[in-house]
Amino acid sequence: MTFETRVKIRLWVAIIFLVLGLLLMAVGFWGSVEYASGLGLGFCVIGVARIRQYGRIMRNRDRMKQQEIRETDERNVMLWNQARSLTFSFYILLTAAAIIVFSLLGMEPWIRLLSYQLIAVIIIYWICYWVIVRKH
Amino acid sequence: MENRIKEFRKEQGLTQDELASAVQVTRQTIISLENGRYDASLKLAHRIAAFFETTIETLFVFEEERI
Repeated sequence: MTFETRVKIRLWVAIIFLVLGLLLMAVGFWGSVEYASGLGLGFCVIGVARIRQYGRIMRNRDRMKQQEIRETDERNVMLWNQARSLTFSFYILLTAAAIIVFSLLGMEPWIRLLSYQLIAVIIIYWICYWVIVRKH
Repeated sequence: MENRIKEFRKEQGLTQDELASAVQVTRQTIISLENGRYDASLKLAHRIAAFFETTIETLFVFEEERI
């Protein structure tokens, strides 16, 4: 898939975001769901910002090339992956710490919720690992 | 890992930006490579070596890992 196609797909996703946002705002204004208009406004803002960003990239070849280089640059990719990996490690540690604190405070529902979440994340990690390992 | 990218680049009178564009990476990557803060992948090393019309061994100084 070329980078131009990828940008086009992102542009369509942004348009979908905008349409979804408008629909949610309409539901919020005329429907009974209170939080929908706020959520819709958020979707609209993200959608408009993304449409502007990708529209500018699509109109300018040099800008598109620069963006492609920025996104495929191996050092950038390494930095993103390292940051993500570190975030995951911190997330696991913080959640484990929170479970210990909540268990000392006797907050049973929170312990159960966090434990299930932690187990789910670890299972997802192993599934991802298994899928990636098969590719390489 | 040490390398001679800066030396080769200066020899050819290129800026970091020009080299970055030629090998399809950002200028920051060239800076990090020249400072020895980042080790290029085999693919990038090959691209840079091909650009300077030299070999990877000439461009990159491999040192035996000390344990």
